[in-house]
Amino acid sequence: MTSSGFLKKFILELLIVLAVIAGVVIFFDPFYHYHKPVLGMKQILNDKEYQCIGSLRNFDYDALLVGSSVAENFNNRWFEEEYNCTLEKAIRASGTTADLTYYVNEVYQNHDLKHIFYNVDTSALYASPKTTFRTSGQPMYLYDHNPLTDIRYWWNKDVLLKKIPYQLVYSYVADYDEGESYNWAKWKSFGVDQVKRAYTPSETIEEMRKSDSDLELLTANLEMLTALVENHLETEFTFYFPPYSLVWWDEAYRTGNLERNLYGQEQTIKALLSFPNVKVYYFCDDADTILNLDNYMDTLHFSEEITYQIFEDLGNPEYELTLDNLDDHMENMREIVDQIEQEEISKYY
Amino acid sequence: MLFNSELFIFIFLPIVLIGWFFINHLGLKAEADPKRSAFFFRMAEVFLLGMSFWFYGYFKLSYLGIMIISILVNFILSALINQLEIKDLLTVFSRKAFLLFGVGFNLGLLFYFKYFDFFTENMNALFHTNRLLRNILLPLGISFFTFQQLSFVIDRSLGKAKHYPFLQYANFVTFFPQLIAGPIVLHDELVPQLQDYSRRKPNADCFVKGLQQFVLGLGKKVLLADALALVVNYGFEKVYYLDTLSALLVMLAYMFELYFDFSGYCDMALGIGSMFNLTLPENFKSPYKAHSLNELWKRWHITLTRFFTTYVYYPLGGSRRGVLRTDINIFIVFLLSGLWHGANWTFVLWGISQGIVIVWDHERNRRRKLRQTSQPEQRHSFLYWFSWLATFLYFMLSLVLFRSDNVTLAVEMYRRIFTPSWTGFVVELAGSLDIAELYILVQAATMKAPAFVSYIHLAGFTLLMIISAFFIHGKNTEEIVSDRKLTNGYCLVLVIIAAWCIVSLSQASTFLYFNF
Repeated sequence: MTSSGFLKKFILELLIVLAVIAGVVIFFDPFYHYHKPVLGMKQILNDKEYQCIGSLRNFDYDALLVGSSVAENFNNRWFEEEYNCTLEKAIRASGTTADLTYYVNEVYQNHDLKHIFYNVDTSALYASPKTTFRTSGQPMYLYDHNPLTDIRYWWNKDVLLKKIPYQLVYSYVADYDEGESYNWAKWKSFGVDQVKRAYTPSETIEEMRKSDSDLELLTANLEMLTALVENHLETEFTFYFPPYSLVWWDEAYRTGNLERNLYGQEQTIKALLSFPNVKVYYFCDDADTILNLDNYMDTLHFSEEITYQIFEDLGNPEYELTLDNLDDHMENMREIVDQIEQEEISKYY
Repeated sequence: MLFNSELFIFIFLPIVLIGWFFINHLGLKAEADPKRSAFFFRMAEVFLLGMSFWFYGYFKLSYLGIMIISILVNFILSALINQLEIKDLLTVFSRKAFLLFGVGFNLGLLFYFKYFDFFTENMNALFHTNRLLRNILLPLGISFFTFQQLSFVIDRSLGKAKHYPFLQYANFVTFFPQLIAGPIVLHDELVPQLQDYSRRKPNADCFVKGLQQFVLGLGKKVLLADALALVVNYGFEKVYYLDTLSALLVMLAYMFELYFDFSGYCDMALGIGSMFNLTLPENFKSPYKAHSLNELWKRWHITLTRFFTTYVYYPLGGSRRGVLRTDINIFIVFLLSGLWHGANWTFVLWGISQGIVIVWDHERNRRRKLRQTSQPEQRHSFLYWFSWLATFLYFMLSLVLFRSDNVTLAVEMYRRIFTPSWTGFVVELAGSLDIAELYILVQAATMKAPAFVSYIHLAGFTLLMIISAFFIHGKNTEEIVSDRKLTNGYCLVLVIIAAWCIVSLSQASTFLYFNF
C-alpha cells in the first residue's frame, strides 16, 4: 500500500471507529447530557458532579430539591407522594449559593416549577458569590453550552467501560430505586465514634467576631437567594435550615464565628420571609436531634432517619419560622449553644 | 499543552500542520519572485513560532516570558559575535569572554529556577542559618531549552557555529515537539533542515512514518505508562507496608513506566517532527536490552549523554589525560547527569550510583583490552544473559533513588527489598490497578463472587507486566516503523491503538520528564 493510501485508510477507519463510539455514548447518555433515559432504562443518578446538570436540563419534573450533601439522602418519592409533584434533586457538594442558584436558573430555562425545597447551609451564606464549578475541577464540558467540548464526553473510556455498563446493569439486572438518587447514607456508619474521629475541639477559644463580620459576602449571597425568589413568584419556596450536630456549634463557638453565623441566619430568614411565596423551617435548635451524636457521622452529616424526620416536619408549625417567633428560635439556639459549652461537649471530649 | 490531550490532537496539531504547509506552499508557488517567496517562508516561520509559543504558554504564560528572555539573550550574544566577526575584531580573549558570559547566563538561569531553593536549603543545614526559601516554580522544560542554547552559545563562541536569522534560531529553540521533554536537539541538526526549503512541502512517506511513531508513542504513554503509574504511585504511598515481592514489583513496574513514559513522549516528538518533514535525533534504542550500564547509557536518553560527552567530558580532557583523570571525568559527567534530573539529593546519589558502575565498567574493559582478552560474549552464553540481568537489576534498583521523594523514603524502599518478608501485600498492590478495562469484570465478580475480585486485579496486573515486558524485549518504535509494511491489518492495529488512546485521554496524566 502506498503511504498516501495508508494515510487515507487510517483517517477513514479512525473516523468510523470514533463515530461509532460517540454514537454509543450519545445514545445511552449516562450523564443525561442530551436526553432522558431511552429503551425504558431507569434514571440512574449516583454521580452528581457528572449527572446533576444534565438531569436538571433534560428530565421532566415540576419540583426541585436543592442543597448540599446533607440533602442527598431524601427519597424523591416522599415528596412526590406528599406534594403531588415530580421531583428532581439539584445537589452540589459544597452547597454554595452561587452554585445552587446557577442550577436553579438553568432549570428555569425550560421548566415551570411548582415547588422548590431549598436546604440552606449556614456556611453557604458566607461562601464566595462566584460559582465554583471550574475552580473545583468539575467536568466543564457538561456545564458549558459548547458542543466542541463534548468530545471529552463522547470519547471517554470511563463513560464507555464504566458508566454505560453500570447504567445497563442497574436498569435491567440489579435493583435500583430511582427515588434514592445520590443517596450516600446507606454506605456510611453513624455514631459517636465516627464524629469523634472527624472532630476534636480546639483547646483555644478565639475571641468572638462581630455579628456583622463578612457582611459583604452575606449580602452578595442574600441577593442571589432573594433574586431567585423574587423572579419566580409563581413557585412555592420552602427553605429549611438543617440540624447540624452539637460539635458543629462547638466549632463555631471556638472559632469565634457563632454570633456571625446566627446573624447570617437571622438576616437570611428575615429577607426570605418578606416574600409571599416563601416558608422557612428551622431545625438547628432541635435539641433532641443535635445533642445526640448517634445521629451523625461527622460534624454535620446526619442519618437517613433524621433526613426523614426533616421531611415529615416540613409543614410542622413547631419548626416553621415567622417574623413573630424568629427571635424566640434565635434565643433558643443561643441557649442550646450555652448548654453545649457548659455540659454537652464535655460528655464526649 | 500535552501531546496526549484532545486540544493538541484535534485542534493544535491539525492547525499547525495545515498552516505551516499552506504558507510554505505559497512560498514555493511564488518561486519565480524571490522576494515574495522569501516573505511567505518568513511568514511560515513566524506562524510556527507563534504556535510554539501557544503550545508552551498554555501551561503558564509566565513560563513563556522566561523562555523568550533566554532566547533573546542568547541570540543577541550570537549577533554581537557576528558583528565582531564581520569587522574582524574577534580575538581569542573576546571569544572566551563571550563563552564565559553565555555559559554563565544559561547556567545561572537554570540554577536560579531549578537549584536555588535546593542550594539555600543545604546552606541553611550546613551553616545553621535560616534563609527563606523562594519557592520558585520550575518552568517546564527549562533544562531542555537551556541545554539546547548552551550548546549553541558554546559552539558559537568557539567559532563552530554560524549566526542564524532570528526566526530560525527561535524556531530551533521553541520547535514545540521537542520543547518540553526533549530530545535535546542541537542547532546544527535542526536549523539546516529549517533552512532547506525543499522540506517545506508535505511528504506522504515522512508523514505516515511520523503518524506511526506518534500513535505508537501515544500508546506507550497512555495505555502502558499511565496504567503502570497507578501501581507505582500506590506502592510509593504505602512503602512502609510493602513486603519484598511487592517492593520488587513496584520497582519493576516503575522501570517499565519510566521507559514507556519518556520514550513514548520522544516517539511522539519524533513522529511530529517527521510529519513536518524534519528529522529529530533518536533518544532511545531499547535501553533495557543493554548488557552493561555503559551500553545502557548509550541507548537511554541518548541526546543527554551526547550533550554531556561533547560539552563536559571532552572539555575536561576526555580520555586523553591518563587513566585516573578519565575515570574522574566519567564520574563528573554522571554526577552532573544526576543533578540535571532534579534538585534533590536522591538525584545526586542516583548520578553517583551510575557513575561508580560506569567507571568500574570502563576500567574492566580497559584491563581486558590490555590483556587482549576482549572477546565479545557469545550470544545465549551464561555470561551474556548474566550481564544483561545484572545490568537490568542494577538499573532497576538505582531507580529507587530516582523515584523516591527523599533519601529516607529511598532507604526504606531498599530495606523493604533487601529484608525478606511476605505479607501478601501484592494483592492490595494489584488492587490499585483501577482501570476502566477491568471494571466490568470486577463489578461482575463483586456482585456474583466477591472472593474473585482480587484474582481479577492480580490477573490484570500480571497481564500488564507481561505486555510491558514484551514491548521492552521486542522491537522499539523506530524498528517497528522501519520494518513494518503498510498493510490493511497494520492500519487497523494502529487505528485501534489510536482510538483506544483517544478514549483514554479524559483521564488526567502527567509526563514524568516535564520536571527535569
